[in-house]
Amino acid sequence: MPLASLHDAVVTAGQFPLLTGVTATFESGQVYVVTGPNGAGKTSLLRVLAGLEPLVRGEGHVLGYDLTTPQRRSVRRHVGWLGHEGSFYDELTVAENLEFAVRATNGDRTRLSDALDIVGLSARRDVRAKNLSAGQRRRMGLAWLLIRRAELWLLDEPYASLDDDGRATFDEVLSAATSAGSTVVLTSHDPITASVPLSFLSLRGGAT
Amino acid sequence: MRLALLIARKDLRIEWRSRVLVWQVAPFSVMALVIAGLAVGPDVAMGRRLAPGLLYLVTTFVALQVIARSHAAESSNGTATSVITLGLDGGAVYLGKVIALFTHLVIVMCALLVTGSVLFHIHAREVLVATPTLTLSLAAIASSGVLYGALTKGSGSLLPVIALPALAPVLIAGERSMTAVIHGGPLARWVTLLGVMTAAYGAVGVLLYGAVEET
Repeated sequence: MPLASLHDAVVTAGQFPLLTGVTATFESGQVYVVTGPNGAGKTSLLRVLAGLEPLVRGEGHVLGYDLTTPQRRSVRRHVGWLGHEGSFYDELTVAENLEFAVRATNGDRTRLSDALDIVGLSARRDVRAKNLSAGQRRRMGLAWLLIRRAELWLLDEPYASLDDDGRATFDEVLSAATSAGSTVVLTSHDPITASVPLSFLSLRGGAT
Repeated sequence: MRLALLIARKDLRIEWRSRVLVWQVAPFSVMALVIAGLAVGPDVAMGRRLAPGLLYLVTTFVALQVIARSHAAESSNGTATSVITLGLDGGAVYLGKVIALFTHLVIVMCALLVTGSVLFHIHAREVLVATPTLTLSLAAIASSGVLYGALTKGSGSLLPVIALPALAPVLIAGERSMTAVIHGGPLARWVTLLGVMTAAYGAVGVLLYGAVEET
């Protein structure tokens, strides 16, 4: 049984169609790269898989949860999300942001220091998020993914704002995720340099 | 309750770090009350009579600012999506935000009471006696405010339009109960109204906050 599947999935924002018919299957432990021009529906697809958007037509399941019912909200507990923006509280420090997320989800606090080491933010753990560069905020997001160890990673343009060193770090994180059996679905306009097998899913006009 | 306290601590820490409450909101509230005092003039008796109403009027407008700020912290820079994907219990998040907003309102109310005491000749004993009803009023404002903040996504222009009519009964009940404490009159019915509103909004918030956040 696949980890996630969509069949002719349609999603709208009011009257505006975001996805107009996506059919795809996502197997455990694989890395999927969603490609397509701007406005193709890449981010919307990630939001659907995260249980953030309801399907208005079609079928969809993630980790056994039906995306056409309120069950979809239960998916979120199993998802590691890295959005477009640096999604943290500006007035909290790096460590405080991550500790809040860990404690709120009953996560393992002992992973925090290791994660900050891996993404190269240990020296900045007491710096407020608003004082970080865009790339450093991205690394903070990677640290959260490492701590959370979710079954499904949903990454929106993960290479954005990262320098060469940051990209290398991301590639290591991606490899570690797949080794641990996580499924990764990411959007990227950049070539993926990680040495992991990739599957590609092309979107155009909100459909596969 | 653990999650609610975690959320409250986070919100209070963010507000404390930004210093907006202390250096902008509280001074604004004091200035608004001073201007109201100037409008009333030097008549001591009139000042004492109008004090509860003016105090609650300023508190209501300041509360709108604080509510908008409370929600803005969640909705900036994609933070809302990140928080939603944590899969947190909506009821606990609501309670946490109510605790934080209530604390913010208490701080502002303290500044207003000190100013009001000087401007309108309210005695310390009267303030002390009014404290339970003031506390209940702020709890009612906080429990409803968090809900309306989520409904309007903290929009500075939409929030007052939606929240002010809903806050009007709190404003009236708070004013009447404080008037009753200072000048005498029926108190129980207003306290009951404040209690019912706090409990009703609290129950609705715990049940529906998660869904409201997603609208």
